[in-house]
Amino acid sequence: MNKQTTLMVALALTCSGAPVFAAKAAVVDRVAPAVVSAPVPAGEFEHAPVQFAWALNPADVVSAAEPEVMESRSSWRMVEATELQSGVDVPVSAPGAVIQLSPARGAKALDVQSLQVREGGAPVAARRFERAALKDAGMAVAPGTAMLKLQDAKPGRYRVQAAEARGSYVMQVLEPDSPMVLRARTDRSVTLAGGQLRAQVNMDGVQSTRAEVAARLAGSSFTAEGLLVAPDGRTWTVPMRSDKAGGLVADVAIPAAGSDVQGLWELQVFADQGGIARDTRLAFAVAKPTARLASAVRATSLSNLRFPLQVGAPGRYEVRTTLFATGTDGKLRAVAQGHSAAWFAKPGRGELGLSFADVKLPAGYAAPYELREVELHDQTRMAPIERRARAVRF
Amino acid sequence: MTMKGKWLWAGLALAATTTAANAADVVGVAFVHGTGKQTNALADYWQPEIVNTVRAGLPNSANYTVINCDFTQYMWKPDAAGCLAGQLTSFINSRGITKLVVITHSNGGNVMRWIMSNPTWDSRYPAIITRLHKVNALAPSSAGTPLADAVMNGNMFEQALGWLLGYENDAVRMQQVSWMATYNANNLYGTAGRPALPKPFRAVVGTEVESSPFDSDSYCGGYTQNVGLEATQNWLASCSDGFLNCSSQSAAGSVWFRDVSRTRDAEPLSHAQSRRNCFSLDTILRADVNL
Repeated sequence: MNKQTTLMVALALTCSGAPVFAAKAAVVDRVAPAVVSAPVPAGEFEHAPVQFAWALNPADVVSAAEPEVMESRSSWRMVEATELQSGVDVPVSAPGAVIQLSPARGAKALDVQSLQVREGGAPVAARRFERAALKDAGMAVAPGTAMLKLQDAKPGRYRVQAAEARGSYVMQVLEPDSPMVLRARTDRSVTLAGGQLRAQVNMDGVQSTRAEVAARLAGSSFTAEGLLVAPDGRTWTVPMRSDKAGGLVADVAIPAAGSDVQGLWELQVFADQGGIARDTRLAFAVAKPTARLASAVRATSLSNLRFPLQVGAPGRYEVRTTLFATGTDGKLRAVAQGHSAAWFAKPGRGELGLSFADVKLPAGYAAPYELREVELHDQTRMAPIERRARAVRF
Repeated sequence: MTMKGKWLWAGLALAATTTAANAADVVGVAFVHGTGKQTNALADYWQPEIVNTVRAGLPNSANYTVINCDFTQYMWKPDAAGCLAGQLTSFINSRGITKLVVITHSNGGNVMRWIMSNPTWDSRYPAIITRLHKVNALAPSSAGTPLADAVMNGNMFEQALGWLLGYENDAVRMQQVSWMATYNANNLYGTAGRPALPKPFRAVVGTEVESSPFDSDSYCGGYTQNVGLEATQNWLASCSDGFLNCSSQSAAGSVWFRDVSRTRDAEPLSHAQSRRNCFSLDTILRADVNL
């Protein structure tokens, strides 16, 4: 059985008047219980063994990275031409909302000057930006995109109309100055294929909206649903449930087959409270266990570190680790980083060696040493397979 | 050890400070562009004025190269980091460079950081890192940009039809905020809590966009570009260069300087201006290239 140690790190993220985001991040050892076979993907791969190591400043703290909290004050949805021709309702919670319309494949480009925005039938002034301006800035928006900014518009419900619309459009609404912010995170940034991760989402800042908005939102419930998206485009709906603290959680099961397409997986989260929509994406890596650390790392000296491997699929594998050394105060601190990789042509037992012997360690640091943050990467498939917080002390 | 002879090995001492060039050093500078597929980055991305000003600071002004690669790809791809490694290796070998200064703009910083963070990925990487003196990263997109998220919103990949909005660019996809967070946590170094990069990575941070038709400074880097960047600023935080939040530009390595602290008349550098001869940026880079 794989041995896992879990360090639960509480997150106390506060935001002016916003409730504390209650999600906890898990910084876990990632250990593959077995290996799987896989063909060598198409492409060019390095075959020469390479080692590289360099000194670190012991004053810098090296620690496992927790997944970041993603924040969103925006949402998107598909709208059809018939909706746009008659007018699409856009509720906003704060002044300064930005509305962007992008034609989907085959849809008619929109002239930003022809877009109309009304509130209760009365025209609303908007600053207008054509696609060319966004493109000139380097923003790779789709042809025919138009953007409006409701500069002075109060919170309320606005109607956006495009009489010339033909086809389907992506409508994005951004409220840069709204206190309502969706916060979301997963409990890990990497998982093995067939594994699971947990996502938590909160809608913060509702009470900080203008009084009339807050009153309306207070009686509405916070809802969200997730969409798991593989790098190859496959999707799965992910239901979310109450965490009994005002937020929502989801346990996301990753298909055992993973994906053969490079890139990250995403949990896209679509949330709503009282008609104010927010969405975000949480990206994470999914690794197939094409190899694993077969047994304990062996270290007899700084020049002789051995990482035994069990290889399940041909490919190029790398171990990387941070060397900690003991200072004159008796404390261990990070003093060097080392990497070692080689090509393994067939499944079976193997080994990677690493030496720190030629790295000039900071003065005052010596044995006992410890290898921490040991990771095994499949470079052929761009997959961070294993991670162990602590490997060996010597 | 018999094993040791077989291995390409490199070890580096801690390079905590930047020191002046040794007389025996052969100093060279490489300009690395941002997102896009370049075939003539000198004219189309940088423009000769800034390149010529900076290389004038070298002991031998011929020791420069302007990189042309396909940075529409994921940073680790052969046409991205592989191409960059190939052109840097050719430059180092052909000019005998012993002290390499790399100047990157925007996503070029990520591709360079890939090489520095993954030295065993490619057997050419260690020689580049060993000769690398420092990276001066102009407006690096180290933590991604909300603009990439906005471009990808709704742009779902449908298996039967391809990209809904008809746009596919893995470099844009990669620079979404949550994607860069994951790559920074697992594949790249230099961000908070992660091991330091093997050589200095120093960011120049652009903090604002000015686009008044009555202000001649708004025309540096292109007036229409600056007007566009003011539009895209709507998607960004209060401190941004119109394309990247200041927090993203500052996320990896160290901050060399924020624009207004060094530029002429404390002018901010928009994302279009941080690769051009604007507000003394060129002379600041020239004065630094030989340090």
